[in-house]
Amino acid sequence: MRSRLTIACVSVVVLLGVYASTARSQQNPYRLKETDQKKLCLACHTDFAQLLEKRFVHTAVKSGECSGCHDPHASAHGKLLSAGVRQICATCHQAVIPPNAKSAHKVVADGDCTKCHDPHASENPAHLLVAGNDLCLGCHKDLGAAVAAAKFKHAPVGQGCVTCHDPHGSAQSVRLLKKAVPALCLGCHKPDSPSFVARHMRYPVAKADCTTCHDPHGSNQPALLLNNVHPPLAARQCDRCHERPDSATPFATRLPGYELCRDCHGDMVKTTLAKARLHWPVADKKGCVNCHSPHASREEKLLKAATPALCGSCHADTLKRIAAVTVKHQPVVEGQCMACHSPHSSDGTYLFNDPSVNTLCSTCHDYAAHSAHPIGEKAVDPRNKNLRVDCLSCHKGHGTEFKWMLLAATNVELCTRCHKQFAR
Amino acid sequence: MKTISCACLAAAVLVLGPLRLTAAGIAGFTHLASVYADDKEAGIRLPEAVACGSKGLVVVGDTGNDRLLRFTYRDRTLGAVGAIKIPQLTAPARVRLNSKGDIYALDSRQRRIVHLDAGGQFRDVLSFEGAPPPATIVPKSFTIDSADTIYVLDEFSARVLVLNAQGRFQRALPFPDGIGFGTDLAVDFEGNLLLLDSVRRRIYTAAKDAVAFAQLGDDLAASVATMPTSITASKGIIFVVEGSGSTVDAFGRDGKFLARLLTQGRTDGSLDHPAQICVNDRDEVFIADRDNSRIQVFQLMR
Repeated sequence: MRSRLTIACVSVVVLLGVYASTARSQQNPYRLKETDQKKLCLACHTDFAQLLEKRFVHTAVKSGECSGCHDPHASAHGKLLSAGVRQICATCHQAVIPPNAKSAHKVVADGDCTKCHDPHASENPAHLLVAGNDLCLGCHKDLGAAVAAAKFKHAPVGQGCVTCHDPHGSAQSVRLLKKAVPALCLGCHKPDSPSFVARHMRYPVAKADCTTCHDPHGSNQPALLLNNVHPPLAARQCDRCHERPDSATPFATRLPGYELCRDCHGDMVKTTLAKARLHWPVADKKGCVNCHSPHASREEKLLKAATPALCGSCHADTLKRIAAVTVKHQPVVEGQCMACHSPHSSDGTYLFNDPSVNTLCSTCHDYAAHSAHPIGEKAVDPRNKNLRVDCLSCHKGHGTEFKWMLLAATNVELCTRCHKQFAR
Repeated sequence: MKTISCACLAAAVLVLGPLRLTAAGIAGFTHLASVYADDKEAGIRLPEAVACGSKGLVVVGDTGNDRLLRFTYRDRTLGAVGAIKIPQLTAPARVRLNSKGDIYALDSRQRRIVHLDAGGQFRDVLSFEGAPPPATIVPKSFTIDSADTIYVLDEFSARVLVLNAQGRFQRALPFPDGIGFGTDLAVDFEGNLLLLDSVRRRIYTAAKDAVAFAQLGDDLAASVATMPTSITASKGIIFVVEGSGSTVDAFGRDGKFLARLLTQGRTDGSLDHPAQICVNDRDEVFIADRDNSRIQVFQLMR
């Protein structure tokens, strides 16, 4: 009995010893002589002492767990990190981007946490590199310039981008918005207030997308309207286009398609419809609003978006072909589709601004002085008596992979396309 | 002996029957002829339309010259019959023939469909009598089936108007939800209406008396590289013309891609921004080769 008790006691002591040894090795995986990592690392990295004086120190740094993120010996990652930044940060900060997010900040999705945060310490909350909007506007420079230049400011912008946006990701809305529009806007702007109702001419806009008319970042227009405003909207003449606000369908337009716009833009519509080739979306069910925003827009001529993105929303194949060529026409590079094409209608093919290719090109290029090669109405294409030699006989309007946007790599190859007798 | 013959015949039917049904194969187009001028040797200019009838009649929309041209196709030769230039018709962008040889042409400048008799005499302009509002109708394209029913793609109201042979409204089919841009119509061998969506690159189909369109097969984007501009069907094959791509794509009745036919070029047999295509009952194919200012004729090789 006594010997059994002795064996049991010895076993317990041995087990406790093993457990203690394991715990020690877990606490000190590198078997450091100096177990206080902070002390050990700062012996060389003396500049870190200053960092630790900052107002907000990362918990892992504060507790001296340098090896929680760094491998003291070697690593395949920069700064001796024991894994990629995203992976390391995600060890403690899981689900920064919410599951089923409707939008995510690209830098977060890319795992570039250190573009906004200092992983060691900072004077700013959340270890941000820079405080407030300056951090966001460091990348979003165009927006920053627009906000600064805006005559009429939106107060929440001054209070911070994070008033409306979640900088990591949003499960609620696009553009990192904390809530979808209009719910986000209605958090402050009460749609049943007399002022709100009067300003919106009694139209029930509480379910509308506020950003189709208003710029939430600021504007040079009163009421934060987008910088280019359709005059009837500025004059609060909603019922010039829409049914009356107390009708069953207040947002329905008084007339369908282009017929509504013809009331004011009669001459333009008449000219458009008189041409041989119509840009057919002009005359479809949506009509003008296929390309134009009927209320207000950031773009001139109330375009829904800048070209070529607007044109590319249907003509994606053309943009793809343009992207593939190395030598591009300058207007194409600048996204100036309308330098050559008429977006409403034309008497020429390709909706060219002039039915004659040569006349069109001569808007910018002096083709008569271009070369001694016959060109124009009297120059018959040797390949086809119905065709005339024009700029597009040798060049391609959007671009090619050859110099001067020629159709072939060499002069011989180009010239013998027509002058076949010289081909070898 | 008789039993053996019957068995062999039955076996042959069993084996070859499905082969025939699934053999929607297409070997290609063989170039037969190209025509560049009318009967007075005046050149064709930027033609965007061509229609072909059963008796060799071919009508061309000589769009750049604001006129129609009539030809007869025999023995691999397009013989010019004459030009039709009337004030009621400019910029013909689509031409179709009905079973009597009457000519219907879409005037893209005036956005209306002009009706001429088989002799080329102006009859009337389709009035869409009885069509429900709105009064404005913008025909982007149209087609005619074997019973002379006329289907008009009304871009303005995103619908297809079905008219009887006299041009009276019968019913309307709305464009399907999610359509990008309805650009052309055709009727296939079984009388199904086909609607071509040039932006989403899809074909939608509606059976003869259907009240709605349904997508035929998958999106065409994998096989149609550029914006498709027109569609036609003939004996189990659907042809889709790529204007910018200067090619013609062939699809089976189930919408499965079969082949890409022809390439961009100036020589006879190649295309530059083709517009309308027509296939007659002898598998002769007529293409309005717009930027080459000519009409080309091919033999469809099955």
